[in-house]
Amino acid sequence: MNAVTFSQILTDLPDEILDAAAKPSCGKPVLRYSLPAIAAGIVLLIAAAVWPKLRTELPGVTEPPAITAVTTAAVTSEAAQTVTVNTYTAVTNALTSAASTQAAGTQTDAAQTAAATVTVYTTAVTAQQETTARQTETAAPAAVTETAPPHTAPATPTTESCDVPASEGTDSSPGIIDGSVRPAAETTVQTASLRETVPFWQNIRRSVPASAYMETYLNASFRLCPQDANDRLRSLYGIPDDYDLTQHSCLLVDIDSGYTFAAVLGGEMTPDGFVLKVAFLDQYPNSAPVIGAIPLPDAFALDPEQCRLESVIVKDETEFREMIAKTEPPTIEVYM
Amino acid sequence: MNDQAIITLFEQRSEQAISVSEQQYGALCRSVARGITGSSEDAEECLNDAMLTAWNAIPPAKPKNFRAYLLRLVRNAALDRYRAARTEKRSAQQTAGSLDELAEIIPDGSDVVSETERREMLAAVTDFLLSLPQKQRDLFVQRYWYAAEYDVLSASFRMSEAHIRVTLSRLRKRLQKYLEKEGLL
Repeated sequence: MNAVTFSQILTDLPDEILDAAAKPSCGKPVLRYSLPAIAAGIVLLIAAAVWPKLRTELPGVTEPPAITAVTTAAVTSEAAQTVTVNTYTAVTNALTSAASTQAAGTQTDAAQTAAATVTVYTTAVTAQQETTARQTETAAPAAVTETAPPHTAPATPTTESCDVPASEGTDSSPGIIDGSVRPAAETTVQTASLRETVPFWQNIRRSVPASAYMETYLNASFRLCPQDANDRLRSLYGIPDDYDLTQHSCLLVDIDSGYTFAAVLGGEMTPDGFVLKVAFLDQYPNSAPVIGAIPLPDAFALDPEQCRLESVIVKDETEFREMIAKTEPPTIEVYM
Repeated sequence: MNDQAIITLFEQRSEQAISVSEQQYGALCRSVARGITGSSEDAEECLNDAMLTAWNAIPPAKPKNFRAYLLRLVRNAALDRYRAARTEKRSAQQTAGSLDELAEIIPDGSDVVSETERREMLAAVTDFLLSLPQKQRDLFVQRYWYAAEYDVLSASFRMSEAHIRVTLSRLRKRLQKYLEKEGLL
């Protein structure tokens, strides 16, 4: 017997084993992770309170442009088993004043379910910041806390672009599970005659101890999402449940790096290929993956082999934060 | 379209059966074949071979699980192609990592195995897999049946590649010991 013969024998394994393996369960005991989830929740609450102040103190950081609605795909942190949605929503009235509202929703998913989809709509009616918020979610029962500290911002014209701020993940340190994530961002698609917005779904992985990576590495891969992607794959890349992969194509992005932090700056898609621009903060060895999915416009044929990564590596955290702020929201321009 | 409907198309000798099968399971079949042969072109050939085999076999064959049936046909085609390539000493061009890993525990011997040996080995491996925790079993099957690459496994199981390599290495050694104990190696 040899390996090939042995492998041929494996071909006749029972259907039950094969079918079960096609949908592996990655669930974990609830109790085992309840404590880290609570701890991560507390940390995120603190971060949500501190981050707006830190952000406005950064030089050159401007308030995000006005938007009318933001839809974000929630992301899950496997380590902390926490779903976090950070959405900045700026609103403008018809006169001269404007208001921006930062809404941070923290959701602890104790049931260890797959990624939830959380939609937050915030609409300003007047400068007095009359807001109405509607939040829908598809997830296991979970506690949701939401804070919305309003503050004043300069008036800006309303456009169709959406804004999502840089995440607070740059504060992470080696060896600490990084539960933070750059929130799912809206990307702008520009065509000769068509302008539409499509989401950039993004998911995260947890950090690993720095000792595991002696050298900085950077790997990127692009592939088309299979039509028969199972729930596990969809959850991993943050693809909404209602996105029909048999009708629409989707580009899966996997970037694995040993840098401190990574953030998508934007990209450009043409019939000749796709370039994704990502900034990396290089302060200490860490694991900074970017896992995301980009819904491709219908009738747009993209060869994954023609996709490439354009990386910008900076060592200064302030510069890194400014760079992210300047490119908010990360836009992917599509030329057809 | 469900599997039963696809089989009905085969039985009606409708060529739509091929297109629907490919649309539904083509990507997965190519992935398995590519994982074994290491070549996209060969994977495409394997899928075509499997479709032809299915077309000739159904009817009278009426598989209960069409997905598994088709994947088995693709897998056998890919293994045959791999074996032929190796025989022609083109193996250096192959990147069948999963087979190389299995070769660590299966001593290189004859291709010819009696039906009795084959059945005993299959029963032993099935028992071994059923004795494993679900996640380890799924990991093993994904790697050595579906020929999934490590980056895919890492994403699917939310484990680092290093962790997966170590886990699979231990599983292979456990399987080797189990088969030796059963007198099959």
